[in-house]
Amino acid sequence: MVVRVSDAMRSSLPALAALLAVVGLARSVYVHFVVERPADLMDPRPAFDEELRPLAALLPPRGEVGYVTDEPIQSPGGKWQGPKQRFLQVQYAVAPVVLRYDEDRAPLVVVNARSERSLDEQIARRGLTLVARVTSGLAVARPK
Amino acid sequence: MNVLSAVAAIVLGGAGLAGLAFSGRVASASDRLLRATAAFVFGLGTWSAAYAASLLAFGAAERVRVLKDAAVALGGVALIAVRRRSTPAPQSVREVRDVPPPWLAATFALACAVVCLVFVEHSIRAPEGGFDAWMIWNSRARFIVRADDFRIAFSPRLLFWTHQDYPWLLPGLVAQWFAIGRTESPVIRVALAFAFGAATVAIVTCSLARLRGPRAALVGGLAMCSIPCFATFAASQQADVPLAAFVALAAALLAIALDDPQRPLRPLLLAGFAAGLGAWTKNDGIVYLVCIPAALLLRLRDVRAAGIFALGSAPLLALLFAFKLGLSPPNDFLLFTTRADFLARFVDARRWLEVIRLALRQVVYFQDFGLWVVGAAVLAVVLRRRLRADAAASVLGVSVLLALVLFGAIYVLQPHALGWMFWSSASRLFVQMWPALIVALVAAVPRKAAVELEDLEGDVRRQETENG
Repeated sequence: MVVRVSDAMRSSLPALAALLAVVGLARSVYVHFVVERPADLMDPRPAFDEELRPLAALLPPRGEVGYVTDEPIQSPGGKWQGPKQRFLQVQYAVAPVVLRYDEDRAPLVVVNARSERSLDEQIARRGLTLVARVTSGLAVARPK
Repeated sequence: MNVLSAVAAIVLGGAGLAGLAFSGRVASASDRLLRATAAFVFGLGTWSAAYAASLLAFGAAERVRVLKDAAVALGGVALIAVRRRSTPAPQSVREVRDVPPPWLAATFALACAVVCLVFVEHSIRAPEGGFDAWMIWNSRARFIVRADDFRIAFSPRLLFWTHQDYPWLLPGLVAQWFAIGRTESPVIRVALAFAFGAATVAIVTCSLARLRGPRAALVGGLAMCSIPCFATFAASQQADVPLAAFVALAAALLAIALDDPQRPLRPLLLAGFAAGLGAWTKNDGIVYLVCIPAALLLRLRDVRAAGIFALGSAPLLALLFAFKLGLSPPNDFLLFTTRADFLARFVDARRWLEVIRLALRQVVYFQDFGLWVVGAAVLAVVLRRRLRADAAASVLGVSVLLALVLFGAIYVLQPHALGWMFWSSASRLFVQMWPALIVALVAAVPRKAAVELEDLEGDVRRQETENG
């Protein structure tokens, strides 16, 4: 009896595994090749690293620069990750330069804002002078 | 010279360690693939750990890197020589003859093809990898390779969100290939991500082929490949799938050692080494490093096995301590936790209940797991007696349970928003331990009586041959 139960389980397990596999694979195929359009793969979006390359060229090759933004990064406990994500994308792009968060008295300061208008407000409010604009809402400035 | 010395270190270092772990003669093609994959994973891990040790001890000069490669390669050659000289171990590899149905093999081939396609698709759509890839792992690699002083990568002057305290096996690999190739091409990061993903599948599948035969191997391989989140996590260039590869290797070696009545020391030692490499990959790896020997003690009362396992992990633990004490990188858990906060979180019953609720919801999280976790939970209930009776399945099963409990406690005690932290990391934790769970569950499935009898007869014949 024990052998028969064991054999039944043993023989049905591959079929069950195949069934679960088909469900999982169907989900993967649906998401990656139906919902996300395959046509987009021919023309993928540019890597953010490429978009931020002009910024790295404006900064020194090493050392520290300031970083200010109109969307404060939340300390632990917060849920909104957008400002953190934008800060860390810039940090990744400009490594090994160290970005000093909320530091506007460094010799050079990266200003990252949600809009051009907000960028100008940040520069004015913090007593900075524009050095160069990189993309919409992103610029390098220095203290007046 | 750089490329040659690097390849020699990975190949010879890995071959030496894998040769030590697998002492019997090669029994089948899948056994050969298991050994080759183990050599590859050991080689990559050891090469990166040796890089970190050489950086911490002697600095970043190119000649230090080449000398380190030479030392790893020579160490591998020495291990191979020692193994050849030593008395051949009794043949412990049983080739389990259990022919799987062709449709099962075809489904596995289909699953591998889909995983490869999703990997390519995801790598094209997100060439920088997932959030943590550029936030932590590849960012660290850039700092190490670009900075005049690699210590800047771990500086408290960086924002704590870069997680300077995370160990750096993966950044060490990426940084070395960046330096060797004199390029930061995404191909390097993508190739490493693919290698670890493929290795994880190969280790689970081939170790089950060795332990329980080809039918069990294909079931395990399907379970590994077809959870929907596996391909995307592999393509995300994060450290979770490399950690899964080391956990899989540790689980496979542990199962091989515990399945052998002689309980050989070498696979246990190398299982500890593999788990140690996991701890050098991610802080999460420390949890598995603690839970596996704890399970050995709890389930088997085997102090010797737990001690050998711990001994195997000692070099990597020493490296981890040297890094954490030598560079003192800030840790966000400690940075935002006072004793009062810690106690308040610990005694807050709502946090414990919330973690349990979130974990139960995760079982049916179709987007990431399909129906696999539900299936695994049902199988665990059905096989509960076999899970207790089989030494390998029992130890691996209890290791995973202990890891779940420890991770649950960490979720409760950590300072970030609980819901956000859980949803942003729970699936990745699951992928890390999924290989060990698959090996435990599939190893616990009873084998066909005829197959077991055939194996016993084979053992007797081999024993007679060895005795002349």
